[in-house]
Amino acid sequence: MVRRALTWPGAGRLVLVGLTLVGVTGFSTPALFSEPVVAGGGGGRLFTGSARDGFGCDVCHQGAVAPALEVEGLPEAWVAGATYTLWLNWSAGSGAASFVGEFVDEQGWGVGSLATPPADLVEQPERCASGTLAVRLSDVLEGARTVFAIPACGASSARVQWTAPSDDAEEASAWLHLGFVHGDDSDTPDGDGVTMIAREIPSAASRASAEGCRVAGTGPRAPWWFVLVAGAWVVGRGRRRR
Amino acid sequence: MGRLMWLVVLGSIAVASCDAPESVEVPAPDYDAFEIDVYPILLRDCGFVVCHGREDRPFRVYGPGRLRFDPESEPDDEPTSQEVWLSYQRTRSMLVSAEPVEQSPLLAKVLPGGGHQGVDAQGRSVYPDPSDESYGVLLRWARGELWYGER
Repeated sequence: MVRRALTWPGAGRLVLVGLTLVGVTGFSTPALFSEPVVAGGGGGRLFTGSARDGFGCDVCHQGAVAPALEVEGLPEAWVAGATYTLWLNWSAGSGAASFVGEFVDEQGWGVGSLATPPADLVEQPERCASGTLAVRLSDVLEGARTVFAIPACGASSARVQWTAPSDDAEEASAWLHLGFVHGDDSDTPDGDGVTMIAREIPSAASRASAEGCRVAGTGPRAPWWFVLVAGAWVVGRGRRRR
Repeated sequence: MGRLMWLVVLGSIAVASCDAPESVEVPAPDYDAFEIDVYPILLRDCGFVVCHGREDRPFRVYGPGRLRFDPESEPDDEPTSQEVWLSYQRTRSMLVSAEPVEQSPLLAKVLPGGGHQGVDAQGRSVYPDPSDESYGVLLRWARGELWYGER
């Protein structure tokens, strides 16, 4: 709980109530969501629309059509311990695009773990205008949320690898919740388009139970470290042959 | 005729006095407790631009990153004393009820079935049940059980 002392206003100030115009502001970057509310933050709300979060970006941003967002790489069913590469693509266009996403269980707690691409695998559309990798991870919120986000920095693509929990004994589903905002570069939340995504990913174990056999869903992809090791092995082998 | 006229006048006065609105006492829970414990909750859970962070809503909450009372304020400037004071007054007004305070708009609407129009992505109201920690703070404050200032 944030405790901050504020002075009691003088009675004379209340005269201003009917005379002063007000201004509407919003969150300029997802980085503010974990900040205290009295510092202009979300107080822990991430606006992904997940079970623990509830609300989405559309409680503030509004006034434009929902922007298109391609989501690839989600499995039809998750396999315990498998790694999947989530690939998000959008049109940079004008304005500024940003999002916050997370993988959660039915209660909204984070499930699995996340990884961003290593520096030498980052592609240009995944970079901010400054050249840095756009997608960032956060585990600061409650210590139990698996959150990824990009600020409005000029990127038009993002990849993140999600490794499913190692135990699927409970046959529980996982959910991807994501809030995507395409802003109009103004200082207000008006004129911004919002796309909210909520995808349920059943566990392969639950599907197998339901269908009486194992399901051949979308195959898991190799984790980043495997790609690097395999690449190094191929390069080393080529040198030895020479 | 004159007697009939007097009867009509007296009858009208009697009816009017019956329909006259009763004076309403607006609850005044502790301001210090509001500022310290309640205001951050309202900012976090209510003060969104399309919800209670807009000027056309009777119940509205002013603050950083949201509706600013002074348009000259920077978006992330800390809350001004005016903003907290006005938010307190607006919140007080939501405690007016002929029923116990638990039935006031502030405390009844945010629970399931309370008629709150704003639901989340799961179709839920703001708080799932009265055992919610944040709801408990609002309730204790409204009951006068949170009191940091002078009584």
